[in-house]
Amino acid sequence: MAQDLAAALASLADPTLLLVVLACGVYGLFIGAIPGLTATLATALLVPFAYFLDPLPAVASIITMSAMAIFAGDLPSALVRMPGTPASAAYTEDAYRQTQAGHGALVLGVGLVGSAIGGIVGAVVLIVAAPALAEFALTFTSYEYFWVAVLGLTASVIISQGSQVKGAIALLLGLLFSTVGIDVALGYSRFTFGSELLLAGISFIPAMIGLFGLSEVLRNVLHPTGRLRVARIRTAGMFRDTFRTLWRYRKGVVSGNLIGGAIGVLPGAGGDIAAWVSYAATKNASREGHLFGKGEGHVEPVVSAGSANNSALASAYVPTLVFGIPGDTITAILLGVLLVKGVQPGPELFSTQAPLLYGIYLIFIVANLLMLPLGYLAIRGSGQLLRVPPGVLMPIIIAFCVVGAFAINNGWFEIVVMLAFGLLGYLLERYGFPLAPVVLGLVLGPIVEKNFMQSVIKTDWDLLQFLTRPVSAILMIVTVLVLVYPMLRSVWPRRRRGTGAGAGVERAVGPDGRDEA
Amino acid sequence: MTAENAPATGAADGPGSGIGPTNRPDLVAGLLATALGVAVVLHVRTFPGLPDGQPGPALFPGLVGGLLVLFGLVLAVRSAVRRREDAAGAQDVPPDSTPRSRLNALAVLGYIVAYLLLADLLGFALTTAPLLFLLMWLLGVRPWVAALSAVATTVLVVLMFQQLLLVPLPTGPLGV
Amino acid sequence: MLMSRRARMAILPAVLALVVAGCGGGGGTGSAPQAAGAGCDAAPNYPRGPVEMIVPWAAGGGTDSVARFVGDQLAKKLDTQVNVVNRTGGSGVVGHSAIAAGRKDGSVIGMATVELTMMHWQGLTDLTYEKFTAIGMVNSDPAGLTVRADAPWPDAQALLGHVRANPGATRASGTGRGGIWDLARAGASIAAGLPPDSIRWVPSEGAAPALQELVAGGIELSTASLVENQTMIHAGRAKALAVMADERLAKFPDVPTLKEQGVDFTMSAWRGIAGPAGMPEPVVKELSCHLDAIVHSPEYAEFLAKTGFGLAWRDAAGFGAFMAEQDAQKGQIMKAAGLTP
Repeated sequence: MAQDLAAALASLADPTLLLVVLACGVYGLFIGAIPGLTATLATALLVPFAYFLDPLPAVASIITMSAMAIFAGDLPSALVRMPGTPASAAYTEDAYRQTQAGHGALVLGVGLVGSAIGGIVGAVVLIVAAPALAEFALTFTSYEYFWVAVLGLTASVIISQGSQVKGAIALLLGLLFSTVGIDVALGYSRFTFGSELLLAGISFIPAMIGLFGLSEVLRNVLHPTGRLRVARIRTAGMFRDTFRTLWRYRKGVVSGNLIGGAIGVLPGAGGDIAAWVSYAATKNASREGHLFGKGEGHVEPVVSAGSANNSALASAYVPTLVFGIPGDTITAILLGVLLVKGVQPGPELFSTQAPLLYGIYLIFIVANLLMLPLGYLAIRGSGQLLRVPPGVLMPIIIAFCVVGAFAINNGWFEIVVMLAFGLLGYLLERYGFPLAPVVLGLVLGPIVEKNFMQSVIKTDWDLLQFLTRPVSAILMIVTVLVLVYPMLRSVWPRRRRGTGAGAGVERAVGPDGRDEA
Repeated sequence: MTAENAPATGAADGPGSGIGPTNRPDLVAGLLATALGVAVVLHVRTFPGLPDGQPGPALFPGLVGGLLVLFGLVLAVRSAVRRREDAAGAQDVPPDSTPRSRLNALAVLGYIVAYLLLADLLGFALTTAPLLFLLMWLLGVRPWVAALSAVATTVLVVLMFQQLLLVPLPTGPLGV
Repeated sequence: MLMSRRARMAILPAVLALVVAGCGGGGGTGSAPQAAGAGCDAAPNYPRGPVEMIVPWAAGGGTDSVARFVGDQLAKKLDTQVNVVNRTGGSGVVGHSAIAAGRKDGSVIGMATVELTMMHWQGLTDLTYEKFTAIGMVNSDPAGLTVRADAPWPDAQALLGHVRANPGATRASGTGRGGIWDLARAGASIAAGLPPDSIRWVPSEGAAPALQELVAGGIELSTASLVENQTMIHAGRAKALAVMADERLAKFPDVPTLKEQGVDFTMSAWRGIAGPAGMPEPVVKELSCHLDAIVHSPEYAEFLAKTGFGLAWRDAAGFGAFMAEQDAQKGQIMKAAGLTP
């Protein structure tokens, strides 16, 4: 063990490796900050280069790049209200409102340090518990995945600000759009009306760019009076405030990391779902939950959900390395690279290839530490963006929206989707409908349906299986609790007073429960 | 931005005047959602079932359609019963649009439509640079600033996407 | 885009030296200029710029990694940039349509997959192999019968006997409904004299989620290719009972063919380079010549050995005839299995 660790440490001293890590860190920051270019796409683009590298630098390039990209997704969220990657969508509203209120440096600092902590915690999960956790994840079948996805959907009910009815309608719209295309049970084309383009369905990334990015530009151009203030990003003293904030919301850091780590381990559920669930959990637990997503926004969801997505990113390597079953799309690509490198993931990786394995562990830690200086520079640099006058900035954002939408599938259809959802997003927001549930519905709709249909086809409609399998039952109970908890809290509004650190903006939670939920 | 922290200038224009105190928009939105739900429920009846006669492709969208009808009606009825939406629902009331700002919004949409029509023909650079210039100019940027920013953005995007990230862009006669 | 690969690599440092040095040029620039495509230059004016290679499936999948490897090699042979572009969606319809609609001068080619001969039978599109110019088939992976390691069946006959005795009790997965591995299930059942629906098909998004279900106990059988299931087979969690090929696979010499076990049936997911219909003869000849060299190179052999993908070469004419034959076979099975509308 010590020998392997020493060998791994020695392999880290390789200048090629360090250069790769640094370069791919910068690359990831760029990719993540551009809406439309996701960490998954970036990983695919890295593959041809990874073929030339030794196994460890090849894995290092992907680990570093994706960790940076997931953090960098927070940058455009906070600055122009466009999530750079889907994993940032959950808390975009809060990050943006905080920036508008002049807390941009704090929100981004929290996002940065939270991401680094999340990445390291995820790596620790990987190091300490990989084989045991992977074993657990392997017991998940369609029933369990169904409940995980439903748990995610309940998140939207909790996240919805204002009218719950409108939140529900927004979620249903997202779910409806997710059913366009080839159906899972029969391969039947639904809602395509004879169009081959619609056969592919509506992918959520161009929809997200439209809903958040284009609609924001439209709003800005149509109603220019309210927005011309310049919110500066003041990085002086950023880290001191950041750590103070993280300490104040340390519960959120812990819960975000736990949720992210747990969801990341599950094959097929990644950072975006982790961020949503974490947001909902934080809002449920926080005494300031009624402040989330409105007014000046709140930093707490950025603390927890921002850690959760990076934590999930790292723990997704658990099933990948232990069993060769990818935890998310990024690790799916990594798996292919490993195979080409002649590295066979599986139990023997842990016995025969220990130096490589320890090398991978160390890379996680190095990459997340490197995120701090690189991210700081990125935050400083991005602050300059806000000095650009809106007349110049808005067209540039549109140009990036168009290029980003095109890059997803190299097709025109995604630009049309982006356009349509931009208009839809503008109208929805104009009349008080929240946008986040639409994206959530698009992301989770197919997962819910697929796992439900698989389950009932497997068992000839024996619905009891959803309740009687132990893990499935636990997940169902958690889902119900998450839904019921806000109501319980409004029944006993004063039971839990006095716990937790004192918050500056302490405000009594209204007993009507409406704002909390 | 929200009405709460909009600056004083915005307040002078009368935030909230875009949506009146009645909640007619909610009534309309609720009825639209109901209509969409009904259309979906009717349409999915044409979907085939599973071989063993159980519901298949129609189940999930049918359920979503049904719930749309339910929540649409709730919204509509609530808007008719309660005359005024509470502050939480109407918090994001923007200032009024003007004829000029509506033209600008159309120009933003026009950019995307024009790009869709022209990019395959002219390539990315020859489409983007002029369109960016036009849009910036319409939004009131001085012509030389607009021209410079448009060209700089185009060059940056080409370098970044095509050369650095190896993401292909639409190509035209110039190869860019 | 008109710049050669090397010229492009040379410009990169000026843009962002660090990124290039680490991520980009980490080894790509180091290779000496190749004797580009010696003896294959049937079309002297080709290529006149970058070549786009469309992949109808997502980045990171099997088709994508084969395409990226071949694309990289092809770029060296043609001495131009080959952009591998993923056009996903609609069970491959979107990508295949994009290939068929591409420019006919050879600047747009793509990785056609077996689904091309299935999607029109399923009623998803009007597109058939006739809208394509075959250039060369590069790979083929046969279906398999993979079960959990602790499953009670020692061989395919035992499994099929169980299915015969308990129709509908065995659940299999590997792709969506009407996908290639669903056809393997239906075709093998028919060939074994069983009703096509005696093994129940549970749709999944691909071989990996099906494998997860298999190991977790949600299903009993995966008909996906052995290469897609190899991690679990090697980890001792799953065992392969048969491979639906004419011969045993080099990477799984202990796994007998279905034919050896008395069921004369083969089914493979194949991949090949194709372009839109009506490509100029010399360009096809040149590309096919390069592909021949790539497929038979030691690099490709090493790539296949490491990834487990199967070698299968057919030249332009052979690939064209093969697609026609496959199209008829797939139509037959899909009609018999009730997978056509």
